[in-house]
Amino acid sequence: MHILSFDRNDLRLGINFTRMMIRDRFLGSSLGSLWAILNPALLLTIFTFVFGFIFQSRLPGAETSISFVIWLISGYGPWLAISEGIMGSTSSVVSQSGLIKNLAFKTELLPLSATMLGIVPLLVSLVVLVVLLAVDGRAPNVAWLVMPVVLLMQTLFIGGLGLILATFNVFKRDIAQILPSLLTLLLFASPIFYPIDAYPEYLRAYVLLNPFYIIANGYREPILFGRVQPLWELVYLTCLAIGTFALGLMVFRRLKSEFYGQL
Amino acid sequence: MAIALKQRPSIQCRDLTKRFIIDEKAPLWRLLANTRGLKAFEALHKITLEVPAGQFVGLLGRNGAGKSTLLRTVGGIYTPNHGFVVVNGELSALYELGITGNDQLTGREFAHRWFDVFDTGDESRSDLIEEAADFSELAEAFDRPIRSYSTGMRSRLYFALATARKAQIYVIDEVLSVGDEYFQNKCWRRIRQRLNDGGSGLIATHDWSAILKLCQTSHLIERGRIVASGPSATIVRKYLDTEEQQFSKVAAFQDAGHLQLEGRSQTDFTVEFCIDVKEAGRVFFGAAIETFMVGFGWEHVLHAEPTLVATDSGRHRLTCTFPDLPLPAGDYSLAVYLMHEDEDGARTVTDSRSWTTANGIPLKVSGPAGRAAVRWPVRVASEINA
Repeated sequence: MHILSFDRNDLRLGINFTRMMIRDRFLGSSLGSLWAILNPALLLTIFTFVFGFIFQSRLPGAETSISFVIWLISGYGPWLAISEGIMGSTSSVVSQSGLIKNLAFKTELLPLSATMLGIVPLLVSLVVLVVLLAVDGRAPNVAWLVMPVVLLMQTLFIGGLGLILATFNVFKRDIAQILPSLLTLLLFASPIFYPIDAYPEYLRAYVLLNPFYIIANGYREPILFGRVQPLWELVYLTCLAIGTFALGLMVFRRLKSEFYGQL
Repeated sequence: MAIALKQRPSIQCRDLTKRFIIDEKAPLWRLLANTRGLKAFEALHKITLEVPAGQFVGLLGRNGAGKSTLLRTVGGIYTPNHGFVVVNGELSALYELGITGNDQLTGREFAHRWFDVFDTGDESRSDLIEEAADFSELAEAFDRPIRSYSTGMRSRLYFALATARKAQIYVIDEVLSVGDEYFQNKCWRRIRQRLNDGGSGLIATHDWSAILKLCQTSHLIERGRIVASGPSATIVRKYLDTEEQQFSKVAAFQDAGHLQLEGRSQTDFTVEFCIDVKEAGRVFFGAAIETFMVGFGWEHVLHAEPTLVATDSGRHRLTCTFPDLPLPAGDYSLAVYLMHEDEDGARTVTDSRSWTTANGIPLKVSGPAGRAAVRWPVRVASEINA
């Protein structure tokens, strides 16, 4: 069976690449791939500690600061997945140039496999959230079942962006250099760390179209309020995801035979 | 009913052209929209060749001639801009890059990764890994990180992995020039084994003697074009000609380049040379008859020790006689050389007609088969010792 000219063998290879990338990043450390889980877990623990116990931040109307932490992590977890995915896929082609030169395979798989790297911190965040919710006396609800759909669309969207950025990064390596700053800018431009009400009224309609906000909202709504985000958001995200992915594949496939002159 | 069963060639290349865009200043939109007019390097130009089933074909050429590009195009890594490649059978490729990736991995972990990537999962992986560990002879180093390996050890691991499972077609790029001779020999044995098992392949290497041993046919590549194709011996000769050795010619043969000699078994064989000596000094002459066999390469069969033939400048005449020429009928090559000795007694070769300098003198021997030897009392006579 072929989907967009990927077959089962490509799926197997893609999964192996993701495993390889996780392993490679932590290779040589004694805890190894455990760091893939430990790192985001530690980060989120620090967040919980700082905002929950030191700043004792509260959501408007909330009794405890734990609900603030839950609100924060339910947005920051998806963001971790987004930024890890984009960073990994952008540099994937350049950093795996040896593989590309030595093995005949669909090179699209590299940025796509790297996009999957983001799923690990997302899952860690969800586990941390389940724990925090339990402490707060709450439990996951039926609306959580929408998350796989959001995750799929998010992966397609980030995968598409990754394909484009990875392609451009082969020709202009500056892209991987500027990316961390751009992502930080993007994070602060999106209502993830702060509520959307912080924006002036006339800007809110546009901010609502920010796909990064919509992705974060896809997790936030079920986690915080036990409801699925507005349908138009899901439809919008789906269209955007499919469009970006298609565009990414087109750009990548158009230029991939020119990579070798640059690697 | 007679149907001619013609086996399909293992590899077929038609009109392969591969260009790399090397325009550093090209804006991204130009790459996306229209690559015409951008600075490009044509690495391959209309390469057409065929590897018949059950044969290894050699590729010779200097660095940057396009050998590696051709092999990668055959291996499906590069898509050609023009032309096509057909590969009939499972292909295993050893590219010149060797082991790449994270060298924190141990040899064993790398082997697992290798089969993660290459294996379709039908064969017993642990057997293949044990086989590779065994062949590479890395012993306990197999469980140490690759970063601690020497270049030779890396190439041993690479070769062992790439050839662990039997493929029908091999594409081999220069990997055999590293590693010690013992291991090189082992690798060649394995390749010969695969050849005997009916495998085919395309081999690019600077090691022309290996090409001679393995390949009936070879191609010479220059600047992305096939400039010569034919029997390996002929092509190797052409290849070496492109890397012509420079001699001082203080003492030189006078036009012996185009000689065609004929000899008869068990009969005295004599050849005459005229030499020009420009500086006074002791000039020595040496000669050898060489033969070529597929699977073994070039062998000295007769050898004449250097003999003093001149002490002063000017023109000298010398004759070289192989008494009762102890060679069976066949094609040989006569190699001759001149050495000049300076006041300090240092000898330098000043001219040579030899197969290694691509101008060996062809010698055809006819006559009945008789006794043959590798050392024979060759008499060399000149004006001094006549």
